[in-house]
Amino acid sequence: MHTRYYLTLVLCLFACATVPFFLFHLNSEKNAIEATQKTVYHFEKVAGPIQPIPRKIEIDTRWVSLGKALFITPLLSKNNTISCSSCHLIDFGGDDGFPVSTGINNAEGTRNSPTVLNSSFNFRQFWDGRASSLSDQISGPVHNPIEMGSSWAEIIEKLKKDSYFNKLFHALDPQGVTRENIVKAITVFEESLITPNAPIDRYLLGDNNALTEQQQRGLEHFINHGCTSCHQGINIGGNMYQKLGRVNTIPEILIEDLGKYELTKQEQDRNVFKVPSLRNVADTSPYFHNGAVDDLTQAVTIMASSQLGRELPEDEIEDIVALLHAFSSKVIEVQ
Amino acid sequence: MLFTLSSSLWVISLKENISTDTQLNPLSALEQLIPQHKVELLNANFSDQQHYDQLAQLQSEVEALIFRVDVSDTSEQLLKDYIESSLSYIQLTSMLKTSQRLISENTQLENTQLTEVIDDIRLKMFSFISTSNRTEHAALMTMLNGVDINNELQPNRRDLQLVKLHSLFVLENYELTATYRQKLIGLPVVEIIILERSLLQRQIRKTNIKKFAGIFGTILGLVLLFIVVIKRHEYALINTAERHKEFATNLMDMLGNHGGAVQTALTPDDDGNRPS
Repeated sequence: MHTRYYLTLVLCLFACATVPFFLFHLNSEKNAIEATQKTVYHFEKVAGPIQPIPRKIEIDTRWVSLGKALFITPLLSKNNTISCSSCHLIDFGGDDGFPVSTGINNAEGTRNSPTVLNSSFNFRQFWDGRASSLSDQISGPVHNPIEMGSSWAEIIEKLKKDSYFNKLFHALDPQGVTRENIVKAITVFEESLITPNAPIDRYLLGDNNALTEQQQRGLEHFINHGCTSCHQGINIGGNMYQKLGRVNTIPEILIEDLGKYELTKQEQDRNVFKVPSLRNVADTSPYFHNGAVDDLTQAVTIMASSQLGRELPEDEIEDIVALLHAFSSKVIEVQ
Repeated sequence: MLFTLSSSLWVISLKENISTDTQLNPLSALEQLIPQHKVELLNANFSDQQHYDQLAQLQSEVEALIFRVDVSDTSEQLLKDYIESSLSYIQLTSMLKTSQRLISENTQLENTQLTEVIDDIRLKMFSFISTSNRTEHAALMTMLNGVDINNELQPNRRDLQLVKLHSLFVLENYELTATYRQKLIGLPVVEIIILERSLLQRQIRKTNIKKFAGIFGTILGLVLLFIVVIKRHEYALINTAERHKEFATNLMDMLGNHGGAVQTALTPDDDGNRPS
């Protein structure tokens, strides 16, 4: 009889003692995740609408490595056939070069895959800007039935069974393979994909020989004709929405997709898209949201007419196209 | 029972505390960022000779926080309305600025009659911008509709087209932009955030009271548990003592009752023998 009372008492005391330990444990696990180094870019500001891409970056390389492995693994797709890199070829402009991408079971997408390079400088992600950050964006292709067609539960199970990934995840975080850690790793990897030292950046930072004479003329046209009202900042775009055909009509080939309107059903969002970045634009043909135009000259002509109401002379178009080639560079190597 | 209930209340309130703290953080951040965003947005020049990365970054941060906050439906709708209006405002204002710059660019044309037409449009356009009213709007619209830009043979058609298209854009969107601006000024987003924050703080106070009640109840429960155990022990001891006492009394009584038998045992038996 007495033993039972003592036992109850000891159990109650034990329960009381474990509550704070349990809570402390919860917090300590949370802190362990947050202890990862936050990505820091060392921005260099110059006068004018176009800004150079930072040449120095502080990033957690352990998470970059894990993110890179996740980026190229097909385990993220339902039938293990598609990876992020299937549509975002990092060494070839960060997109796949097709008008629209192909997902699992050869399903065709509806929009051109945007470049993943420098995407961390975009103020929103996707053509219609439906994701406000890189981490929010990741769930989109993973769940889209015509892209990866998978789910977090399936992915986590597959990654847990994979000894390489399971070990890597546990080495970085005691919680191992979780949705948060997968998203974090891919996000950090994408944050590392920046392309500094393009001729335009070197020119902006004081190297007057970085641009050819034709490119310098192109830059002058680019700024004076009003292209920089939308294509400005570090990403030469990607920091605002704009209506396609703002001033003049747009060609039939671009009219079908209504952009942000598809999400909001608001009249003012008809044909509104996130302004795409022009970084590495020479390597990311075909152009526009549906990849309907595969020639830079034609793309410049369309944009000048529909957005600025200008019919540009051929020599000016050539100058601008030459300038657009100066926006390309290779991905920085993080140490 | 008291201990179980109180400790459960303690744990639940601790969890609630964590959850309310999580909700409070984005609200506090929004309380700081929204006034800054509002000021930067309404004071931005939006010239195409500058860049808006900082504003876009701020916009992005504010949006991310708005998606994270857990507020009432009305407040959520208002915050989303603020973000959408600011995005539409940026779209229109940036283009309006470019259009105004392009219209005002001085172009030297050979055709004096065309130069006069363009100058007239410019004058009327800037008069409309400075004192916009319906009469000027209608007059300018009639004037612009009369300008033919489809005639490929017309000299300087490109210049005329540029001025006409941008003037039409300004004319069609100037008032709308002003409406967005007024809406952004008038939307009580900061007040809503402060209100939601105070509601959350009230909830945190309630949770704290629950937490303290839980702690107090748990301690009380434990003390009561001790007292009950001690009392039980005491009762058990008393019972045992009484039983022992009763047993002793009974034994004494029994021994007393059997006193004769004991003595009889000491008397000689029938043969006259005494026990050794």
